[in-house]
Amino acid sequence: MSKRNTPPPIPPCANVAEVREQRAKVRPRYTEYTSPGEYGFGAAYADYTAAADKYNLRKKSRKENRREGFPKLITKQIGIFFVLAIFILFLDFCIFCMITVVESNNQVRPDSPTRVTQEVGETMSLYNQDGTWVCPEDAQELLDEYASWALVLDKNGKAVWEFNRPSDVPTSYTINEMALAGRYAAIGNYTVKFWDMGEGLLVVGFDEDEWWNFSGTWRADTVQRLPLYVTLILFINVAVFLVYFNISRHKIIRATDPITDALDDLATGQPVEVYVGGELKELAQQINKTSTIIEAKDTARANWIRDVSHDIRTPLSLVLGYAEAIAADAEASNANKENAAAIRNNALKIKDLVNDLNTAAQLNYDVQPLHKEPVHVAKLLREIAVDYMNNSYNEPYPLSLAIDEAALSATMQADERLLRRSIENLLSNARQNNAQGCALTLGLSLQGAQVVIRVQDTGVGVSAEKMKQLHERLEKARLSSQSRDWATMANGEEHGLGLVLVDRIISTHGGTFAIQSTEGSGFTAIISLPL
Amino acid sequence: MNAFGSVEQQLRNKRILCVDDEVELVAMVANILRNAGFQCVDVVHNGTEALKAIDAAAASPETAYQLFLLDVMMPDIDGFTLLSRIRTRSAHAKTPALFLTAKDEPAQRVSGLSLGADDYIAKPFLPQELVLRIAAILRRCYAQESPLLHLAASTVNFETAEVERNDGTHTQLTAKEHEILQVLARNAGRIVTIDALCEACWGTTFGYENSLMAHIRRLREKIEADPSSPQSLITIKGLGYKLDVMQG
Repeated sequence: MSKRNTPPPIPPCANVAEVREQRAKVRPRYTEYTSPGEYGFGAAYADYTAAADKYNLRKKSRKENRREGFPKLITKQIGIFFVLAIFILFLDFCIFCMITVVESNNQVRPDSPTRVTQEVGETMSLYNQDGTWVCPEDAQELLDEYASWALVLDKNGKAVWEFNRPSDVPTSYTINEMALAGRYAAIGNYTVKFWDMGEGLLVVGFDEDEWWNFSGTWRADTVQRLPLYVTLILFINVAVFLVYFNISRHKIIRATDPITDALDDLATGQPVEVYVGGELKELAQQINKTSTIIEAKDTARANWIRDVSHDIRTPLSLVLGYAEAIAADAEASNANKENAAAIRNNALKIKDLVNDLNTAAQLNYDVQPLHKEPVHVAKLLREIAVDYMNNSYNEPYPLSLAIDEAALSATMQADERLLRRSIENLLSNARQNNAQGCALTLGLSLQGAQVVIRVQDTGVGVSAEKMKQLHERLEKARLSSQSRDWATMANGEEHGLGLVLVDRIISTHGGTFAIQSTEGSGFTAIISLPL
Repeated sequence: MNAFGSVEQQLRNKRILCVDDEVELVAMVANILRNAGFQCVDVVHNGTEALKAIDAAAASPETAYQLFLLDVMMPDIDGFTLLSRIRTRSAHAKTPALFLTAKDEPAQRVSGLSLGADDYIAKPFLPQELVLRIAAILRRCYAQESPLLHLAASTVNFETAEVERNDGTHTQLTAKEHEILQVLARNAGRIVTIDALCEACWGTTFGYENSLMAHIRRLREKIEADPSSPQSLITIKGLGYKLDVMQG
């Protein structure tokens, strides 16, 4: 309570008149804080309650909403990963094609066995008259450089020419040996190539370590099915990927669910405690820490409000007690009695404000603000009216009760204390806005499945313009129901809590609150609650 | 400060102890009570002093306190603990007690009343509210000491359930009439709702309004000079009834 609403200091003045003038100047600023304002001696509270009723609704829709945030992000990321995988596959295919092209060029280069054999075979096709084969020198150089050895076989399989033949290569071949050599492109430990030269067969041997030969025989239908197999492989790859995708998505949702829940709760101001193992553990710990900090702040604020309002009550009792004593003192002058009555009435206003503050704090910071029980409405209204009369408020503000026959035994589920507070607020509101006194009516009726409570006065009423402002203020408070911070509402130009608090209490009960007035013909507040 | 309405004679000599650490407040409370006519109001400022004063006074039945007015929040012993300690003394096992507190949380109310407190007044309060509540508690708890109820046109003896009218005739109250009149007498000067009367007499708030009206009508015939314009048992239309008693 270090910051008080004190008027700005008044500079020392020479005379009383000057002081008064100074005071008059500063008063507007001062009253801005203290005046309850017309019929809304309270603007500020409201958010709190509606937050509570929306909370249940939100809890319901939360399951559906949950599929959106986190998992959506993860779906997107995995989707991108999927597209990337396909792209990589495509890229691999391209690289494979490039390698094939490069390598196939490599296969037909001048030093490849096929080229060497072809070249040698073509140059050797010159046939000498004495039946011997002659190899030109450049062909011999070629053989020397790239091949191990060479033979020319005649039609009977006998070697008629040889070049560098190793001892393990025979000089004569049966037809079987030749067929096998052709089949495997190998003789002994050498890879061989053949060239048909008409009268003879050129056989060139190459080092097995340097050149390999593959060959195979495939069924035609197998080869025809090849595209199908490729498709199948691709399909299986995609299927495996999708299964993995779904499992991991499910796992992520399961892992992030508690965190999403916790964040939802945090958004509505509920304290959370979330335990998650694994990779998200740290995130969960951070959320818990945040919740603890928020809770500590909320608790500090709630405690502060409670302490301040507690501390106000004792001095207020003294003010109220002594003011009342003077107001009722037979020996006091009439002027003093009137002054004392004014002090008493304003002390009662402060009392209402303190009670409103406490109620609002309860609505805001309690996890379960409503303690619903069956309430016999007519009985409650009679109790309120009797308390009102027993407290001798009745003098300039006579209260009458108008309960419809049909509503006499109406019972509904409600928080009796809050409902009582709402009605008492409306009664006190009417008194405070009609200093000259007025008649009050507390009405109860049934409209369909609605219990309608009316607090009506015959006072000065409210101008159309002020009504508009009041409606706007209520609307503003309703709209900002997401925010639990009533203090932000209190920063508006109008202070106090009254009507907005009533509105909030009623909407928390699932009812509606309305106000009606025409200037000069009183003010009516209407509470409608479901039976 | 006589304006808060003074209490009837038989309540004035009840010995009341007020315990509150707020010196100014408890001085004001004592002042209010004294001005309302209570002649024996003592004040202490903490639990320890309170227990000492209670034990000293309890030495003789003539000086023992007959009502405790306790603050809940006190630095040494809180009001709830203090009451439970007072209750351990055999002389005060049933002495009425009333809490004066700055808190009006329902949980606190329950805990106060379950300890055997008879009522509970939240600060800030209006002086007459305090006086009326204390008077109501005293009437309820010490009813057997003052069985006579003085009304405008008659005197009722609660012990014999007999009504002596000012003209000297005697009538007898039925059990229900006796019960209804007792509830109204305890709350003399205050309106009692139809619901509270039905609850006290039939244990429920539903379905007995017509019976209640019939009983009230017969009661008026017994206690009022002119039942059609009652002086003592006043109807507050649609709300309940109020009994005005003569100051003794």
